[in-house]
Amino acid sequence: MPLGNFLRNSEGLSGTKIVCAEGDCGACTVLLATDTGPDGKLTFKSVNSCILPLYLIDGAQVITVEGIGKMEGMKVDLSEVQKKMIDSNGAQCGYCTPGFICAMAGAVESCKSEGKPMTEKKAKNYLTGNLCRCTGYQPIIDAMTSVDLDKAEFLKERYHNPEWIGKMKSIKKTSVEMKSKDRSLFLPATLNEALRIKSQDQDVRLIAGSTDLGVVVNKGKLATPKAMALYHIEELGKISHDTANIYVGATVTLTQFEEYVENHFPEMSRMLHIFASPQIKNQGTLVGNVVNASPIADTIPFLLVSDAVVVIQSESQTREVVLKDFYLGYKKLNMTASEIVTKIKIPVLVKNEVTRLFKVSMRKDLDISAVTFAARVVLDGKKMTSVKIALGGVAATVMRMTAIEKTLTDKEFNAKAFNEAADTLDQYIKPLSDLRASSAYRMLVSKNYFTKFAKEINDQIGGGK
Amino acid sequence: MSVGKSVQHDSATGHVTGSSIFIDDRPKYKNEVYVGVLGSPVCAGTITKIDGSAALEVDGVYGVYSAKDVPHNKWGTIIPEQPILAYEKIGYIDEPVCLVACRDEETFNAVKKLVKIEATSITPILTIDDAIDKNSFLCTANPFVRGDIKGALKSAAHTLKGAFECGGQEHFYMESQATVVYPLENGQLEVHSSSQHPTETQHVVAHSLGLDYSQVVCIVKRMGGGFGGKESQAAHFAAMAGLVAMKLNRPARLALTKDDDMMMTGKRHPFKNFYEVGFDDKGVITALKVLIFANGGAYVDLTPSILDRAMFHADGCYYLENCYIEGKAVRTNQHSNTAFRGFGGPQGNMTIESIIEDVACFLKKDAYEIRKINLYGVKDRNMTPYNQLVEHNVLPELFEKLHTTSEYKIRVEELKAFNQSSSGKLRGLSMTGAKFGIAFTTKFLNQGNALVNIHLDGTIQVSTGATEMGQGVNTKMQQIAATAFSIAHTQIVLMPTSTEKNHNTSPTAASSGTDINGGAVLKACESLKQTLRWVFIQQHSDVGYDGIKTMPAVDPEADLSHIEFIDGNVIDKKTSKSMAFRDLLKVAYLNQFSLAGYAFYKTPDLGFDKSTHEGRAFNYFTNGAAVSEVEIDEYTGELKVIRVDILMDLGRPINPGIDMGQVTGAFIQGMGWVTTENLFYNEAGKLLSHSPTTYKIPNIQDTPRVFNVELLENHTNTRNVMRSKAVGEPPLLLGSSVWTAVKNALSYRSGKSLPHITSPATNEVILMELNRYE
Repeated sequence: MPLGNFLRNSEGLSGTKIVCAEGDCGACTVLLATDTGPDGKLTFKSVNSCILPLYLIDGAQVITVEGIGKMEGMKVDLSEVQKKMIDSNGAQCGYCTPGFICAMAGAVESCKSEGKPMTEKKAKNYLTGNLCRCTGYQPIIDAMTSVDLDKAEFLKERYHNPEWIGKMKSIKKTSVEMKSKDRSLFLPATLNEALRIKSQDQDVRLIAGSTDLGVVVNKGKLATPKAMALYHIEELGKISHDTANIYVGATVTLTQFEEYVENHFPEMSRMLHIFASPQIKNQGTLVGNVVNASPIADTIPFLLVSDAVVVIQSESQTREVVLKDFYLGYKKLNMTASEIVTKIKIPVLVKNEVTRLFKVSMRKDLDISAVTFAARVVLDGKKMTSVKIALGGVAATVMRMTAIEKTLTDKEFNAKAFNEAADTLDQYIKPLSDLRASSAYRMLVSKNYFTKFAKEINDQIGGGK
Repeated sequence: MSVGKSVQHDSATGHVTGSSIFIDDRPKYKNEVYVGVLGSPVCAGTITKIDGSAALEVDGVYGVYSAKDVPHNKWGTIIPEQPILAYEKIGYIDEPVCLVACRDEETFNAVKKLVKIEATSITPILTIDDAIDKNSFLCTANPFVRGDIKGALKSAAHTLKGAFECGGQEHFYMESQATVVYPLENGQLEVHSSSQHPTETQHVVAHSLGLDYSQVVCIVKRMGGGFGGKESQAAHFAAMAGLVAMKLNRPARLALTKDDDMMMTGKRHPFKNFYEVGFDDKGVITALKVLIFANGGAYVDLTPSILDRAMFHADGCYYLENCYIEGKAVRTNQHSNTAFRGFGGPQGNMTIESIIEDVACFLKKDAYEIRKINLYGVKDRNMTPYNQLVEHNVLPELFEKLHTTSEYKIRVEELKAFNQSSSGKLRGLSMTGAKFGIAFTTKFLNQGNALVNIHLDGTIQVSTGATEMGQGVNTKMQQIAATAFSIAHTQIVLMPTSTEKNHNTSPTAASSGTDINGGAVLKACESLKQTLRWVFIQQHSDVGYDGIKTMPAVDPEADLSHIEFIDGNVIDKKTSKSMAFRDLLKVAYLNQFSLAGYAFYKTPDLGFDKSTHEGRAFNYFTNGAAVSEVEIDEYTGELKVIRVDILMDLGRPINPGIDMGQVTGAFIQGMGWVTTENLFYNEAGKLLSHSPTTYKIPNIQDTPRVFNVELLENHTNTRNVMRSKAVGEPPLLLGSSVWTAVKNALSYRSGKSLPHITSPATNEVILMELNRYE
């Protein structure tokens, strides 16, 4: 059962609203803490409760809209964000408001923790995952930017309880197995245990953040009678790096990944800007995005051109597969049902390279792309010693354009060559027409991206006209 | 005085704390049932079989119902022709055909596929062109004709011909259609519905189930958004839940999922409008011929009125000396299109704004110059094609002011320079206007009633037929009543809208909620004030009433205007005697005077005769203008709205804060309609964009980085309550300035040809058009 349904139907907490049941509108946003920060206090992040299975938050702390202000019987002492939302006329019909209030409270909590001010840009970024149909957002932006961070109370202080935290941590270290007549659920605490279960029963479905699975289950497209969630496995939640690679564990969320890259490889973070809502990024994982193998996944094109490596484990062996060789066809992967992807190795950027990621969708933010394009060119003077290009949304998988790469590699850069290469695209891709875009549009954008990328290289090497 | 102040929305605290109760938040009774709705598998044809026997064997399934179970299976606001549950003739794919009454949503999802629905299929009609070819029309309106259109087109210095085409729009109210029906005693039903029109919901429930109107009460506390989508189309869902409640004698709840709601309910009408325009060298429009075609979808619903409003707004803000405006609506096998904020107005208005953009491009002039010389005049050139004088015309002032404050001129120059550089980006800028006619064009709907109950502690409960959907009508009612008695607005509480207190009401629609219901509230307050003044006079007379001796009955004609209500007190200006409002109430009560005020209001002087084109169509006009600047990515066609400036004429706003929220909200909704909101149907006619993953309403990042909204000072509107003006719909029309700005941007690349795009201007539409030029 998703958390949202549980709150509304079992707990009588009807403040949390469910609108789309697919994590795309934010009305169901609540704050979730599954861990503590360096200060030993809970770190609350916004998540979509409509697609979050209860079993993924065993032991976690949840704050709903009812807990943002201080309720005393029917009386309420409003929090700073609630006051500002009222003052700015940020609530009209009120149906999206609880989700906004939680997302705003989460944003305030983060900004306050980081000691950074709430800018308009930040306000918008934090609220990208919340749709409102009444206000046109301006009153909500006004509310958010007028919040006085000093007056806002830390939720992690208000809800600090060492006993709960201790319980939460011990629950996470415990293996859980639940079985009924026709369903089973595993929450192994070690990787070995997970690998054993997977080798014994290959129908067991792996679950990391459930941001995709939660949707298909809600829409009745898939049942998961046998599920195994990985988040009790401590080692899979780790992210680290050395001089050559970044290592991202299977349950590292997109937010953790983004923050890590931002701190350690700021030059890479521009390329890795992931176009999803905070709620999704706080729950979804990088490995999940890769393994889900959507032809329009946001992270795959960049990982493809950087020759990221997928680390795959089974009870008997550990093997590494270059991402390019990981995709065999539409949602077909180069791995067996008894294997688990435990991490991804991403080579760090080298000097003298131009790497870009382009994406187009119907709406700029929080939308599934129609076409994605990633390219990475290593330059020696004007010579392109390595050329890697990936296109998404134009075939059953995200594709590396190896033939085109070959014709460009070891040549001197010139824009004309890129345009000529683009003209040969028809030979390699036959994009589909669907509700996001027509085939003709996808083809045209793909070609234009070659032109655009050539311009970026040109600017980089100062090639002039 | 409370009116004119930005007091907070009366539900604001509930909204931000999550304690506001919507339909599906109502606690469930133990015996309550969930009503699942199943739709037609085909666009057109006949249902041949509905077999629920397999589902009925499952634990927790209590009933499977279809058309034959509905006592009177036809409804419709204008023409009762739409089935509650379709059978013989399917109107559209996913049209409700079957109800499953079961324990809960999980049970419904589990048994959905067990209900066998079989249908024969015939070739559907899916587009306006197709419908015109096949002569499939819903209705035709009498054309507006002025002057000599043939001669004027012939003698015009220049003429342009073309077609303006715009898509539909999903309401995307956050709360999908929802209703709970409780069976009461003696066969009565209590209906709680997320409805803009409780009276119609009451009537449709009663009629379809064979009950008397008096056996059904419909209550609306609030809606999680309406936007027109719950004006007519909440009713039949309430009837479905009512059917189940009656069949099982158990409370029945129907709350659609977002996907089902989007697939099953009507949307804004797509239009295709063919035009021929004649103009002189300066750009003055000398002749305009428009043939308007609206896609009504499967059923009549409100289409004739929407078509009317499109025709009423085909003039935009511009005087048309010679014109011919004709309207037809086609019947197609799509969800029955319905009211959506603007109600045909945006589709009419945008047509002429598009034409003006073309005229400017053709004459190589700036479009503002063309707009300015065609604007309705103050002293002359101020008669609409339907013979209504544009009184107190602020349009020239509005346009000129906005032209200045938006720095229009200098920005056009900057933009020209920008577009010459090869940055891969292209910019455009455009100003459009709105002159929105306020009143239901169906005369009888312009009526409302209100009940004002004064309690002895000086607080007041107000009930009207207006429904609260976030627009703040309750708050404005509070302010009107508070101002009438000169007390704090917090002393006024708005009660849930209910047909047992306010019956025969009109939908909260046509932007008129405050006008009509506020008018009634004010009248009810005035009659109560007359009573209280009378009591005050009697109390201060020499008779010495003590509650035993009977005071004479109120003389409604007595001139007691010297007794004034000021800051919680009642004061006789002649004698300077005064009394606290609260104390006077007690005196009135003890002397057996009613402290309930009920009043009826109708908008005066209306009545447009469609056959003769005589009479007044609208009470007044709400005006506005917007300047939008856009930036296009030439590689992808992606669109960014950089800056928007809006100037609105809202008369004397009752609540400027709430009205500003209406303006920004309506504008962004209009912007969504003309940019990213693309309804995508497959070849079989099935809507594929039926959730926010695939249907993209504006996101917070789409709100323009610079967004200036100002209100024009205007005290002249004596025709409406407190000299205010209606605000709900008019600013939505201004969203089209984003679309015309795209056209303007494209004109920098289109060479000799005129840019031609449809609406919505999606990235794809824009890029394909750019690609056409090269």
